[in-house]
Amino acid sequence: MRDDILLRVEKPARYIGNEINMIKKNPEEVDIRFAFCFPDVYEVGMSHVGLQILYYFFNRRSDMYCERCFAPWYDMEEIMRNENIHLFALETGDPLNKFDFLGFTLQYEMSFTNVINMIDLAGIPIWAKDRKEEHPIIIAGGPCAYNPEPLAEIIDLFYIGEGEVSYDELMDLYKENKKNGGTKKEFLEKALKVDGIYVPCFYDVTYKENGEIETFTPNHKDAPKKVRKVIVNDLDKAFYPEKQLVPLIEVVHDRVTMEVFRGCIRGCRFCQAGYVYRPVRERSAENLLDKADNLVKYSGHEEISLTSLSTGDYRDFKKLAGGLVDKFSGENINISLPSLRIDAFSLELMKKVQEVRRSSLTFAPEAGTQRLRDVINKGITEEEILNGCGLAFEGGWNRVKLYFMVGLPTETDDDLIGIAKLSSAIVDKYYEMPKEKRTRGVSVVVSSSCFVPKPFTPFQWAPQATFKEFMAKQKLVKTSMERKQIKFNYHEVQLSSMEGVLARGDRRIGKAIVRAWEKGAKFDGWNDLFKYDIWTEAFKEIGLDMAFYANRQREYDEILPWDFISIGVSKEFLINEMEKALEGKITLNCRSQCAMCGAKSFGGGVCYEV
Amino acid sequence: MKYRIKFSKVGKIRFIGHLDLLKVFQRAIKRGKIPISYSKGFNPHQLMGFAIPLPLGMASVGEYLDVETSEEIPPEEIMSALNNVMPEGIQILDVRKFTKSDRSCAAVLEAALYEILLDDKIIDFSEIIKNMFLQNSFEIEKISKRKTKIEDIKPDIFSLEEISNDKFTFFRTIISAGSQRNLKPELLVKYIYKYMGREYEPLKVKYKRIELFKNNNGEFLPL
Repeated sequence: MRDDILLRVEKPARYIGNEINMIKKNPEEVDIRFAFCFPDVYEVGMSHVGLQILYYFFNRRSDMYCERCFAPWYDMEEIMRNENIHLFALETGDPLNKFDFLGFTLQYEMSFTNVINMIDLAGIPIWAKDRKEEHPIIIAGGPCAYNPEPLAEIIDLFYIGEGEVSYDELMDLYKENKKNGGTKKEFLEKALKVDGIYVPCFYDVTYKENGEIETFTPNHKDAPKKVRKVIVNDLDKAFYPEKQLVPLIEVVHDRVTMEVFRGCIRGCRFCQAGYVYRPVRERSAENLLDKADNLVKYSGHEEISLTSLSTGDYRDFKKLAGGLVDKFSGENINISLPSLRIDAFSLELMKKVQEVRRSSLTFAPEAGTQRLRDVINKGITEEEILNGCGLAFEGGWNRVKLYFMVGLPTETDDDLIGIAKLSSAIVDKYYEMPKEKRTRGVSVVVSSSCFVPKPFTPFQWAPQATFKEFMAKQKLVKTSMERKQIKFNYHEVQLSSMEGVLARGDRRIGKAIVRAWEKGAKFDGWNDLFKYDIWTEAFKEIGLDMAFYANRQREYDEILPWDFISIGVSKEFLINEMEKALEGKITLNCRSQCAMCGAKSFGGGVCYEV
Repeated sequence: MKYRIKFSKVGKIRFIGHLDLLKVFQRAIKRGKIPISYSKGFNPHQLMGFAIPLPLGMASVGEYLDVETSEEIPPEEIMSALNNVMPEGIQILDVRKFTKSDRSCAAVLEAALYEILLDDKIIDFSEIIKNMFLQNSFEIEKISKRKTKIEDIKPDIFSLEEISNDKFTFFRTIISAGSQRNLKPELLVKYIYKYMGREYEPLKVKYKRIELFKNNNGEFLPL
């Protein structure tokens, strides 16, 4: 990128690459050029652990060069469009349209317009059918690939599952096909035989008069009726990088990140990650402690973070956390411990590794009453929360963050008022301490977001609250808050409503997403940049009803757009969970009692723990 | 043990700002296994201090920082350890141990040498400058966060010498820098353009910092 352009944009270092541990290869000497595209701004994308893993996974192949590309910010995009500069990869600065593959990671629905924008900025036709042999193949993976249909006419093929499993086979096929002078279509046909690959152009969809799907059928003999996700069974044997990219500018998370396990034993009924990543598979503490040395050594970071969906559920947690403290506390390296359940042990550990004064404790009760927490199968009781807070207050903490959702199935006004009551009870807990211990006062920050029903959860059939209903609910919570020590924030309602439409969208809404993009939608995940009006107009112009996707009760026998994907968890199980939710019955976590969800069929993880 | 480190920042990495540069150094020191000392207190940080921030986008071959270590190491070891782990564009040029009389680089800094390239060929530039210096004062509007005031920058300019080639006007200048008096080179260039009656276009001027000086009994010496 030219210097005179870099001088004109905000945070020019977003576009210069050359970070610590960046891979350098001669692009002339590889067979496959792959651009890992993160459809958000640099600072967000560079904080993503999946990018760090796949970047080194791809680049361990000598026949492949994986480079990176992020969504340019508004100022840079304007200059690029005015001066006809194509979107480029950071490593070589080469335009993306010279690459063999663009690989997008779909982390959140509201980044879909950025995907489209990046393809367009690269000078590549956005519709798959318009792309020719000379254009790159566009592949996408990540959590939103579990309902790929909204982007089915844009993306050439989707990867359903964990990258370490099938990418080598897919890249070998591509290389072979390219060497033999095969066409893109021939490659896509061959890809049908690779586990976890979905090639949308080989499937046809028909619709009923009422808008529901009538049939969803393969139109190619090799296209599987069901695409089953692929997962790594033994994470200790899977590839894990020795190094990680260290940005030259501040990003969202500046630290060594270690993935402790995948999946979650909890089975919260609203949580897509809790189902699609089943079963839980852990890395051993020995393996992680071993990896930590190099990750710290080659990065120079002064913080290590453990990531997973619920780190407190890690069986070897004491060994891992203790081991990290022993290894690194003498070197001024902080250990950050997100997603912990609060008990005496974790508090003691947190005191050891973190500065008490600055940190606050976080709880996610998600719902305000025990009844509703049972409905969503959030296995935390009021007593546990209050006891945890009590211990923390005694230990010197005085700030608590609470996360809730509104709009959950079966929710009543009592549940909403319960959010305020629980928050007040925590304040009361603080004042139960003797006065001499209450030196700094207490602050409770309550955040409430709007529930978005997601595919592959028991709530995938449930209607989402309408925009108006959400507003009324948030207002009720807000007005119920009485204590001055409580600060209440709520998540952008319009954004969640839109996310609700896209999350359970079908193939037809792709046109509305493109229309919204044409009308200027991008960076929709950014509250201040999101423009709801554009989206409502776009859906109107395409002739689609947003309420059909978001606010409608679906029947169990309806063909859902993502039904052709198998996550290993059976539909019967999800139906049963939905029914249990309505009865307020909980399901025990995977380690307490197997709920027979179906994920055992993968042959590994928690299902086979002894 | 204190050490003074001289380094350059050229190429694309000059597009990172001062606070990011600080982080880049902190991590390089960790990667290079330099036994850096930490401040005491709740939030310990590495003991290091830069002479003066380098503006984002500007190249330099004469930047300085001081670091404090918990044990004595040969300066050339610090230099090679850091050069092995630095990102492209930052090079350690020299490391020396503090002498008894040394004070922090920020405290002793008084002047800076810049090379300034005007993307423009100005005829008789030296003559123009000579005439310019015949004036008693160089008055120009200095805009700071709170207020705008007229300031005389002539006392801040210690030398100005043309080194143009066939295509561009090019000059070297030593001007005040540091906590006592500080002149941004851009203000000087703005003044020169104002004096010539031409419009100043920021993107057509390239600045490069060459050296930072302390004042040793009236003589400028590199830090």
